[in-house]
Amino acid sequence: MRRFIRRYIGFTRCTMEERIAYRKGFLVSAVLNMVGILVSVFLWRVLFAQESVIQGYDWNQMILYVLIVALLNATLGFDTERKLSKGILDGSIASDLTKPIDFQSMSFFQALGHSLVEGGTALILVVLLAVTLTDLSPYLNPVSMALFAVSLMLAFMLKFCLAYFGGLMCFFTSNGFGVVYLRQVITDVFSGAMLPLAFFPAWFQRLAGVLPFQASVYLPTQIFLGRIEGRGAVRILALQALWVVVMWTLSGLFFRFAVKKITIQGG
Amino acid sequence: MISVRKLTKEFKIPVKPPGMKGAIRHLIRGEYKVKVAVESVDFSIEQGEAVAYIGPNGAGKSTTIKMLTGILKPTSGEILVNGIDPQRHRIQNAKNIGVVFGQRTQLWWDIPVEESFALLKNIYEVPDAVYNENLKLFNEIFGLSEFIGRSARKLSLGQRMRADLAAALLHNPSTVFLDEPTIGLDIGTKEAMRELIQRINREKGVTIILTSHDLKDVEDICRRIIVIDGGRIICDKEISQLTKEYAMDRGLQITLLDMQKELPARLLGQEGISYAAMEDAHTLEIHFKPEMYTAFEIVEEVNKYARIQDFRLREPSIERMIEKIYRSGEQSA
Ligand SMILES: Nc1ncnc2c1ncn2[C@@H]1O[C@H](COP(=O)(O)OP(=O)(O)O)[C@@H](O)[C@H]1O
Ligand SMILES: [Mg+2]
Repeated sequence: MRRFIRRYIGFTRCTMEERIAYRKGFLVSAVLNMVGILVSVFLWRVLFAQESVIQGYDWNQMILYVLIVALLNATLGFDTERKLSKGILDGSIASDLTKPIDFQSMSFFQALGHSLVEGGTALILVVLLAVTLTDLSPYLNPVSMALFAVSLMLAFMLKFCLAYFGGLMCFFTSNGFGVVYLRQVITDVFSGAMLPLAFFPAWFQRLAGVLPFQASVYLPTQIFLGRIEGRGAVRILALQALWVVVMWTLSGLFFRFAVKKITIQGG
Repeated sequence: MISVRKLTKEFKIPVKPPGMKGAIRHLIRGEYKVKVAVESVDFSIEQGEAVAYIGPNGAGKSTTIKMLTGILKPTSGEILVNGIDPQRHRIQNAKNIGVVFGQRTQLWWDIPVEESFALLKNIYEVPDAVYNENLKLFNEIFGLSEFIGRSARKLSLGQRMRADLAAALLHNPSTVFLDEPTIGLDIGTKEAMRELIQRINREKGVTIILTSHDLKDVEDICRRIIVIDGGRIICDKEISQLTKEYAMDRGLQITLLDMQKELPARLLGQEGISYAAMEDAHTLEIHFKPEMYTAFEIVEEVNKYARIQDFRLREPSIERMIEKIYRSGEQSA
């Protein structure tokens, strides 16, 4: 395991350096995050002007929900898919494939590097906003914070798997942008990133419940907000872990199948 | 050691008639045209050989290299690289090979080149001693230390290609695939690239498979040539053997003021003249056996049928041998 990490951690380091070197993109994404969060906050302020509780969420909880979603989205956005689809479509994946490395692990360690930089800045932003906009005191007990931290990590891994799996679709189409966009819309709706799942009709919630997306966003927020506690929270962590294992394995199988179809344009 | 048997690669190319109608028809019917890029290719290469794999654009060189490096699955046929099927055991195969695609880079664009190198060192688990020794060699030949601290984005093409070749050799691969590594480079960089490739081949016994349109690369580095055209191998010989067969002939290029149409055919009909054709409207290229004619006699002979403005002797070169191989390939095809 240590040997494995030593071989792959360079991808994390290089991605971080690259991300930091490219300051403009970095600043733009920080500003966009900020704007996105503020737009949501204002929207909810309008809605909460009429009612004090909407679908079981009060103002405080709803803003925290929005902030956690923003943190998760900033931590792992389009980048994994963009890199993957670009590599497949323009053939630059070729040089990765001539290396003695597992492609999926490589992608994961790259995503990790990206996320440490983006997630790090987003975390500062989100904590600042949470402190100014909400009352955090009910949520700051060590047990639920620890559970939440584990849940966030699992959510990150699952988000990676979903993005990676989506990106692999580019092996079968030349419309990379379409695939990425479609995946993003599906994920946003079913994961609860757009709205808490409680806002949707019962049949939709049942459907979302059997799909992996909710485990990447919705479930961690429920742990943080204390809406699911104790044994229920542990069950959620187990479910998240299960989805990570399932999606990681499926992606691996899919890659092994897909890589035989690759044509590598150019050269 | 590389062995390739009956290797074939077909690409399915979607047939899309023009316009919206065509696009829809393609969606429904899904029509494809099959393009055979590599057709039933056979060869085997011993450890330590340096082989030039040459052919005109679209001949199937890159496609073959991609299959040998395991990133493209053959349609049929068999490849063994050091006893390993490179597609099925891609990762295991990758440990022993180095690859340069001249049209791409494997360096990270926005971070210093030395960081890319450090990453490769980790991936291949190169021991410090080997790594440092290699860097020393690359420094000596490439002057790598001048630009290793800069990001790939900020390098000239020549520097980038040096760094790319060095990156492919850091882990002491036993077999190196170079697909047009000198494309677009200035003479100085080309020389340096050739020197390094030559040295690892001669001193370390590394197998080299090189594609290039620059026959100076071929002459300097390789001892064997495999010529592919239209996906098929039309020649596979030691260069020394080729020289014996083709370069014995002398060549003259004669600029004519006027001429008779049937001149090349008439010359070709004579014994001892192996080749005669018009390069353009006024330039006659003629090859002859030196034991049968002197150059002066050839000029005299041509002078009977045409007014000569100028002539010059063409040195026997690999380039001309290849030209002839292509031509004879066309004739037999
Ligand atoms: N990914 C691909 N899809 C369809 N056709 C391809 C693809 N790659 C190569 N070809 C075709 O196969 C033939 C051989 O290409 P290539 O091996 O790249 O030639 P070379 O490297 O000798 O110039 C060409 O006709 C090319 O158009
Ligand atoms: Mg090519």
